[in-house]
Amino acid sequence: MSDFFDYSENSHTSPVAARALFSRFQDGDWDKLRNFSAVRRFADGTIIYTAENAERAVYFLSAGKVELVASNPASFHSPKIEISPGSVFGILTFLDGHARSVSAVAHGAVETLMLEKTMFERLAAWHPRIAITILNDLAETVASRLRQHNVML
Amino acid sequence: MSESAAQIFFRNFTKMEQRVPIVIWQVLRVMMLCFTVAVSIALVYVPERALPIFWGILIPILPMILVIAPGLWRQVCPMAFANQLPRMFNFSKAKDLPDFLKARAFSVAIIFFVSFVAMRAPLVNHAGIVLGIVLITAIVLAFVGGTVFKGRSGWCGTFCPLGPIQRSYGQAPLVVVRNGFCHTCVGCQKNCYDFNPRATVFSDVFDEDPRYAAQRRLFMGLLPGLVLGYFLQKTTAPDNLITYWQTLALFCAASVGSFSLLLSFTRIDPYRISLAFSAAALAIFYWFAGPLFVRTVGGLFSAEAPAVIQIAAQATGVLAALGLALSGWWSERNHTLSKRAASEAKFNVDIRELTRLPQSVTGKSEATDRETGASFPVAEGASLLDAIQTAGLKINYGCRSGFCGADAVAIIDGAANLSPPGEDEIATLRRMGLEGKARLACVCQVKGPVTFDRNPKAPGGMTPTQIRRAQKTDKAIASGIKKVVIVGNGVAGTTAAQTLRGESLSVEITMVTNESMHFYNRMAIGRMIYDPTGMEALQLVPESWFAENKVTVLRNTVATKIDTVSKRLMLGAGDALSYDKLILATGARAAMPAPDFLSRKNAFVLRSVDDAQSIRNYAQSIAARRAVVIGGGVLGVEVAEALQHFGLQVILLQRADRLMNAQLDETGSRNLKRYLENIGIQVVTHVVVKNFDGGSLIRTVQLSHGPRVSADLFVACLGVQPNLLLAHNAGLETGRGISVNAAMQTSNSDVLAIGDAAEPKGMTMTGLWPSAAGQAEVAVATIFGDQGKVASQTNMLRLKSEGIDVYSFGDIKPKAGDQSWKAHEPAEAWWTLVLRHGKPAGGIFVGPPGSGKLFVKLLKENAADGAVKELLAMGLQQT
Ligand SMILES: Cc1cc2nc3c(=O)[nH]c(=O)nc-3n(C[C@H](O)[C@H](O)[C@H](O)COP(=O)(O)OP(=O)(O)OC[C@H]3O[C@@H](n4cnc5c(N)ncnc54)[C@H](O)[C@@H]3O)c2cc1C
Ligand code: SF4
Ligand code: FES
Repeated sequence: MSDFFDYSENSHTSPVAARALFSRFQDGDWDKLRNFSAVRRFADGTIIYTAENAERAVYFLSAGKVELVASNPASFHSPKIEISPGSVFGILTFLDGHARSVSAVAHGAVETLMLEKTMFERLAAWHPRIAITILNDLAETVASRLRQHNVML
Repeated sequence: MSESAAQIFFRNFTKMEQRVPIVIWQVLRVMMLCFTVAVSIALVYVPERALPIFWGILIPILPMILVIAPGLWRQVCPMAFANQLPRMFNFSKAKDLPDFLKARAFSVAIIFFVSFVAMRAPLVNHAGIVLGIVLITAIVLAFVGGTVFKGRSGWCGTFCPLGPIQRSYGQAPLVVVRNGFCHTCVGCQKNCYDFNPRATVFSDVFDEDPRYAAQRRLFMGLLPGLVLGYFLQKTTAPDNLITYWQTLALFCAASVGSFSLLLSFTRIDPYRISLAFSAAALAIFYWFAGPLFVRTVGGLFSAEAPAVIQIAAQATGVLAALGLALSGWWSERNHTLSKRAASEAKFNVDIRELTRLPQSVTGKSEATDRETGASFPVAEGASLLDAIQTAGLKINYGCRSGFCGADAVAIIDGAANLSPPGEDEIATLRRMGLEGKARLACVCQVKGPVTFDRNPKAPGGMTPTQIRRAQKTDKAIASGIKKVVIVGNGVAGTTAAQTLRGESLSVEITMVTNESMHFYNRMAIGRMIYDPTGMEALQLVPESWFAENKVTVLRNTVATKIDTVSKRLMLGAGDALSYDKLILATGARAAMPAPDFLSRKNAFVLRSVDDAQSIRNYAQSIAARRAVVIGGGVLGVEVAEALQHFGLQVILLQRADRLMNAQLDETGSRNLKRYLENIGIQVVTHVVVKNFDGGSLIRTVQLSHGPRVSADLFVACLGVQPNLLLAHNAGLETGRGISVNAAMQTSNSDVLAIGDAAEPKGMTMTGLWPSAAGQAEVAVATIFGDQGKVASQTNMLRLKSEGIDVYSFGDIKPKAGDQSWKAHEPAEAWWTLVLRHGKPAGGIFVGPPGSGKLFVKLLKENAADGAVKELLAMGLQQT
């Protein structure tokens, strides 16, 4: 049972169970994904994106820490969250193209793998299976975050 | 505190140990219930003794308990006990609280509480009987609630007037006492305080449902005003009840108002504001109730309480408030840590895979974009443009060969880590007025760290000392040429003007163009269909260049006739320009599928900026959904992709049996078709458009084998026809284009023709940008009596798509004696290579984006045997 308030449909299983994204990737899929995404590095303190940004891109954090800061203090769901390597951020704007709800700031030397929506569509044209896996896993992440919205992320 | 410790801090009750045996609690509960009943009875029968004890001792103690260990109260609260009896003895109906009650429960609790306080001075403070009845009624209501509703939803967590107070003063308990009534949680209410008392406040204040959160916030905002309003007025029966309540209401309103002001106009976190208001209410309460408590206790022993102790009681209240504030701050801190831990634990990506760089990246070369601060590695052999695009940064580009100048960038740092500029690049930069100041990203190889700015005029760039033009003699004076008129301001005409000015400061240069814009990047107009910012990106030469260099450009002006005898060019407006030399750079126009094609409102071609804008505007104005592109050559494919990118359903019709049939072989075309279909473009080959149906709008195109295809707009991309009417009417020799010799002279040696309009004898017309620019330089050399000759270049044709690499160059079909190579099949990337005397004579490449770089590099470097071995290593196979 979750420590916090959990209003998911099935409150017996934790929606926050750890699970690796893209665990269904096959050999070589990562290389293909890398070919369609961009390595971007940011020096300490660099703003990776601001809250108004609507650039349709999702980031996978490979090194350093990133602080996600809510633009509107009333949306407490993350006045500040620091995320570590392995985390994914920026999924919502990637999916819906609306402005981001938080800004992302590099803490320390940050390296990310960035996948843009247009690049994703091209990836889908060449490797539909990989694209389905990515979309599926991102959707699962979002669904799960929605489910535990009140778990005070 | 570590993250796991922070999580322990927020353990819910199910994870806590039951430290005090339940029996003890039960005994205490029974005692407490009896005590309350006794107090109620005493209030009725001996109010003069019971009332002071109730208001002076019991009530002042409660907030302190709520700050320190609210769970203690919740374990023994007589109302809670009464409420839980049916659950304990299993006779509760355990119904879900209906939704409408759930939504209103908190309001009911607030109304109970505020009314109770408002009635204190007028009634309850002195009418023991009323107070006694209220207490008993509350216990009965709690019990009834327990018989009907499940968990603690019938009273404790919902309607109980003490609930809001507990959630305020007890929002950051110093000691958490385990919920002793729920064995397991049955989920009877939202954000249950008994489930997790430390976390509740965060969930309350920031609840998804704005009304839910607002009600909780409102209560905390109202509390200081209510307490102050109560204590600052008489606590005995007021003289004027209405004034009394009005004053109380005013205090509440002021309190809520300041709360809202802080919330609306400061950036202070709502949680902190709520915490501060709760703490303030507590301090105010003890400021008044502290001394009262001391006096009442003293009264019990018939002793006068010394002033110091009364002050100490007030100070204790302030300290309690401080304690609440500190505890709240600590709670908030832990909460942030817990959230972090929670978010880190899930949905992570395999970090080993993430940190593995693309194979081609060695690590040394890194480029940094000044604007965004983003740095990214540059793959070996990749140009700066490739790297910028791979990094997902927006940048304009056109020819990718250093001719068009679309991708000029300022180099802020590390200029020495770029390959030195070649002649083409220097010429283009000079034309753009950026010589020595910027570089063209497409032709810069990155060898070490570089910082660039995508605005080529950004300050802090290279100092314009690296390349300097040598002082030359004025060639026009030497050759006696005074006036040169150029028709057309495309790349051919503009390069001619720029080269002329480079050779001579005195020659009078006039350009005539029927377009409204100064020279722009025609190759990039396709992007304007879907990219509204495309316009600025098209400009390749600053407008000021023309004035600064005394080049007169007559825009919106049509050249109508050439009088080769009097050497005059007639203009549409009736005036004429005399010339010593005339350069015809009239380019080409789009071929039409039918003579009246463009008379239909929804029929378009793509040759100029105006065309691109018309397509975009029309599609937007009618909210077009479907487009038909006629012609599956390079331009047709580019236009189809642009329209698809713009959001239209696209059908691409191709007369030949495959796409780009002039540039690709069957496999290459098939792979291109598959890619286009995968991104949603419907490709139909081997079809001939017979007819366009409809009136002022085309409704459908009829195909020669019968079917009709309907769409909202139609774009014809059927190749180009050189603009040769002017030359033809002047009696100059023409063929497919204006016939010229190798020096670009037409049949009249004072008239030269260049670019898409010209047809050099013995050469195929390429219709490509670099050829046009090259011919312009030759023409200028000719004008000044120098020997210029067009190098027969093998242009590399590239499909301008970011989703597929398509290159075609030279002879794609081997001739006798040639060696030919091709990729293994099935392969993701398809390529062929024709070698003539050991050197590449032609080839094609069709593959995923970015995969063709090495192939192109080898071809460009005119790779010989060694390179072929490299290609072989990449999977090429001899046919
Ligand atoms: C969408 C598109 C994409 C392309 N992509 C590529 C590519 O990727 N690579 C490549 O190498 N090439 C590409 N091209 C071709 C390239 O743009 C042309 O080869 C090049 O523009 C030719 O230049 P030009 O100066 O000869 O003619 P143009 O650029 O056509 O300029 C001729 C000018 O003369 C004007 N004019 C004509 N007659 C008169 C008159 N009587 N009076 C006044 N003005 C007149 C015209 O209005 C026009 O402005 C592309 C072309 C298009 C349309
Ligand atoms: S929500 Fe759970 S913990 Fe809270 S009162 Fe109801 S049953 Fe008990
Ligand atoms: S894209 Fe670099 S000069 Fe044309």
